Amino acid sequence: MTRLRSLLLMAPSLLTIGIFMAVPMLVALAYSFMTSSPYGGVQMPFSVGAYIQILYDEDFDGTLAFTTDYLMIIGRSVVLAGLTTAACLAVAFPTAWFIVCRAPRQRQLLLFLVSLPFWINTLIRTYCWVLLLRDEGLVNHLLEGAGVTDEPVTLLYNDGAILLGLIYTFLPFMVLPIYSTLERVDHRLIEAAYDLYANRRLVFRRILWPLARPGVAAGALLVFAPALGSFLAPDLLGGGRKLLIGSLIQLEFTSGRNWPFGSAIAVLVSTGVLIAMLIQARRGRPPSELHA
Amino acid sequence: MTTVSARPAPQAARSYLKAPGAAASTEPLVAIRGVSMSFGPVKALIDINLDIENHEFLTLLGPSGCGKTTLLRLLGGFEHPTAGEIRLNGQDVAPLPPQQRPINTVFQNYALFPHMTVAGNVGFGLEMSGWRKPDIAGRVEQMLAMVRLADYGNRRPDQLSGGQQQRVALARALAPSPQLLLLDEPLSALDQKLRKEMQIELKRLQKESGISFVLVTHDQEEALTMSDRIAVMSAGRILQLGAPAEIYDRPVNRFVAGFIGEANILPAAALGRSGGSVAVRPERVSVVEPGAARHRGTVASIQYLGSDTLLEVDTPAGMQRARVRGSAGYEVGGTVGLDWPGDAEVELQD
Repeated sequence: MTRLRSLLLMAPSLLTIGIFMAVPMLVALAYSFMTSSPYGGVQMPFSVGAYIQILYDEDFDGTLAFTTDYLMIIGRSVVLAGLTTAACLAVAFPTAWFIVCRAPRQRQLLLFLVSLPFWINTLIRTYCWVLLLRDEGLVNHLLEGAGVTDEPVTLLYNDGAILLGLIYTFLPFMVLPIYSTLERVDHRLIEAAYDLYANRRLVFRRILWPLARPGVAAGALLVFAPALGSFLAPDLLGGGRKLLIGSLIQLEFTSGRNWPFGSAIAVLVSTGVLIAMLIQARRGRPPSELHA
Repeated sequence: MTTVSARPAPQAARSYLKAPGAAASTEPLVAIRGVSMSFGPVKALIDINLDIENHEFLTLLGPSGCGKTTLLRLLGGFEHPTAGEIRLNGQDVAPLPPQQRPINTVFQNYALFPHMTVAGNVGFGLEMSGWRKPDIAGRVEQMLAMVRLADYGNRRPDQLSGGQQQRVALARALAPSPQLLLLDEPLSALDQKLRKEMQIELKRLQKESGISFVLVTHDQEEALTMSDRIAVMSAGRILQLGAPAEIYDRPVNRFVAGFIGEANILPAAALGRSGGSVAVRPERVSVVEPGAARHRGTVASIQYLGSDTLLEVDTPAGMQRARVRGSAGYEVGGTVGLDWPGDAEVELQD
């Protein structure tokens, strides 16, 4: 009876998780072990060909040659997502601290401003960066107007532009969790640290940073995971010239017509992110549990 | 304005606690001179003058909003006065931040670092002031033994009871041997029984360490039991400064008389005296036969308090309270006489 009740009560969350998380991931997992059909989609038989393709090129005669093409794409994506995470952290921590130190009413306004971009479509916001950064864009006009340069500086279609776009898109995901942990830090702890002869640097390193770590970790995951798989910024701001994981997956599902290969890469990336989350979940447990 | 006279330094002043280059012996440990503090239009402190002597237990007593916590925060360096000087060993420290003062604080609710062990907390101040690791370990052990938490070094603050957290906070603040220890309502979060124990403990620690303590509290009983001197504050000023018995027996005005203990306030004229009003402590009042008594009235209420009984008596000079031993058979509505010795009458300045 109580078992049934508790099952019923859990049903909504179980269904939500099942439908929106487990099923798509299982579908991707299943697709990744199937064969591509010539018109897109997948067909039988089961095969691990898609995973082999990540590491080996199959020649026309069927021999396999080791290739680093896809590893390079994955590596580049990881580096770019890592840089995005680091840059977001560097900007978000002071921002979050600044907001925490304001009066409560100002905080509400500032938090609203941080979340304001969510109200506008990401595609449109990313396109705005194209308009800002292109040769005839606002930034170049300003640079020329200020006499910094005579000719337009190429700002678009390079890794820097992609990075900028990624940082811009995911910054709020770093600010908000850090803010929520910093907000709960008792201000007297900081006073106590100063009282015990700590300087500003040590107060940050020994008190603020350790106490904010759960928020930093949550923010890092919220930025890193979507940045790793993002294809909008790389496509629009990078010109799609150099592939990243996100654009690669998108390509394989559309013009590439190789769904199993796209799925295989998606599964690989998801697995990596999941492992990172598991490690984080273990480390993020409250200290009392670890020492009990 | 309340002028506060400098008390002569105690005879037993131990010289080893004085900082090198300490000023002449007439200079107290801390000299607060003409300190005022405003938060925007709000005046939290108005022209405060106060000395803190070596080895003394001084209590700032007053209702909430009287400025006592602000004064403590000025001493700690968490706020800086709008005007005036705070001299420590003759040097003005008013503009210095907390980390540059040899003064430590026990915060209300303790403010223990939740992510560090008890030993980490106690050693923090030592570590920040550049002690070597082995020295820190020894000192931490010594401090934890002093507050009777010798085996608790590896625990986390959230694994301790309120009283234990309190003692860790004390050990942490005392570890760097400050010249002055500030305590911001340290006992307010403890239950009655534990509070009594900690009062004795605090007094013991103060005596043993020889460090001057400044305690902020709104609890008059706490102030009376622990302090060498009490500064009674109200509305940003010090109304009276003196030893507990002095404050209790000779309150200067109506506020002090009413805030510390209970007092019957009578118009001076009713007692054939000049001046404004006179305070009489209820326990100095004796209930006598109505015939021969100086004051007469009807019993308005009787409160049985166990060892004592508190009578409220309606007299021509107003409602008077008498606290008498035992539970002798008075009854509401009965006529009684009230009397007290002449030295129980304290003239108030108002």
